[in-house]
Amino acid sequence: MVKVYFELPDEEIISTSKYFNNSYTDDWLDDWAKKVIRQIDNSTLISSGIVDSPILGPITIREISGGAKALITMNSDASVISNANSCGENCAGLLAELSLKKNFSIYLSYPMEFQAYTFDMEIARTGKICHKAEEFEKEYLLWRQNMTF
Amino acid sequence: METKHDLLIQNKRDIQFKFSIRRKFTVIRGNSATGKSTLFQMVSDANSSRQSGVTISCDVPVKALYEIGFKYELENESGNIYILDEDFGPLKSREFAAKALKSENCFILITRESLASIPYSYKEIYNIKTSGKYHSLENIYPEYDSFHECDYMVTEDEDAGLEYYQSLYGDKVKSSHGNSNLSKSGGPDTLLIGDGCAIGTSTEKYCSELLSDLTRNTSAQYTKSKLNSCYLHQCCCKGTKCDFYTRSKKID
Repeated sequence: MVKVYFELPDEEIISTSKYFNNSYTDDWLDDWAKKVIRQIDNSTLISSGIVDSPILGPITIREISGGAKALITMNSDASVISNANSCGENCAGLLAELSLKKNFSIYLSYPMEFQAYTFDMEIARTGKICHKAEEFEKEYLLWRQNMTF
Repeated sequence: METKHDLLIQNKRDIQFKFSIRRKFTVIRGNSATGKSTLFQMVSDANSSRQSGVTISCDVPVKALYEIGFKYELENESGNIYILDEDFGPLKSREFAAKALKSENCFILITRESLASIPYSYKEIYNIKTSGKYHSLENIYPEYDSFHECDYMVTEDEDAGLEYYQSLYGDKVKSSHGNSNLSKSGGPDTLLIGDGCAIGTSTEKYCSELLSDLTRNTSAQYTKSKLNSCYLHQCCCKGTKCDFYTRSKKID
């Protein structure tokens, strides 16, 4: 289950890239990390901390995308509310998939399009449970626009 | 404020970003792993050492802006293009918005967040388009070149602007009483009418003042508080909407 915060105090919002670069351990670079790096960055985690990118060539794990770093942090570090604003729409599928396996929290203040993916999500401000895109979008709009349905 | 600068940022490994900016604020968002962080990092590298392997071609300096030192930069520097990545903490703060608006610099903002205090146009929100090592920008939102009447319509204006749209479409047009409330108004089938620049204060203020100046002490005098009927009704002998300006400020 992913708990979604639309708003957070500034001091609780993590800088995804800096946090990842200064927090990750070898344990974080597991099969999930390999999957994330393959699907989001179209790259391969070839050894501990080294990634083969088709565009950038061999790079360190510190140079992978912000979206990949956020998804790896969500899986490996339950001590923080991960910043899902670092995730583009192309991260929605993996975010949804992870929510069916683990409990974690994210800060997400933009209307990510979950399309047809199913997920387990709790909206922190209302406690509402969402499993599909329309339910999430309704909660987002209620927060964002004070709309009535 | 419109402006235009062409940027070419490349390194010795042939990673290249080529694009133009046209307004004070340009926003880059979109999918992960399209090169946003790489763009920021290359500019940052170019700024931080003389032989960085990165070259930047532009008619004005292009600089990375960091949390530390941004206040000094914005208060004391002008004529630069600053690029900010998504980890720039103060991006949503009023303090940053106030300093950025006041400064005479352009800004490239890498963020997916909605920035209520920054007047950026929907036309200047981009994805990075990638073709191998070559990167450019493409608009996220299409240009809207026609106006479709809807059953529910809301305009950010509450005085002359509201009156104008109500004269065209009747009482179905409501006011959101300000631009900050516009996005909170109406429902899924509501047409929201706002300035092309999300906040629009500078453009609107400029146009209002210009129109007021041009029409001062004439029967077509414009005021924002109440719309002169000259702007609503046919009034010239040509039988068209008032073409006051084509007639050397003479009104029959």
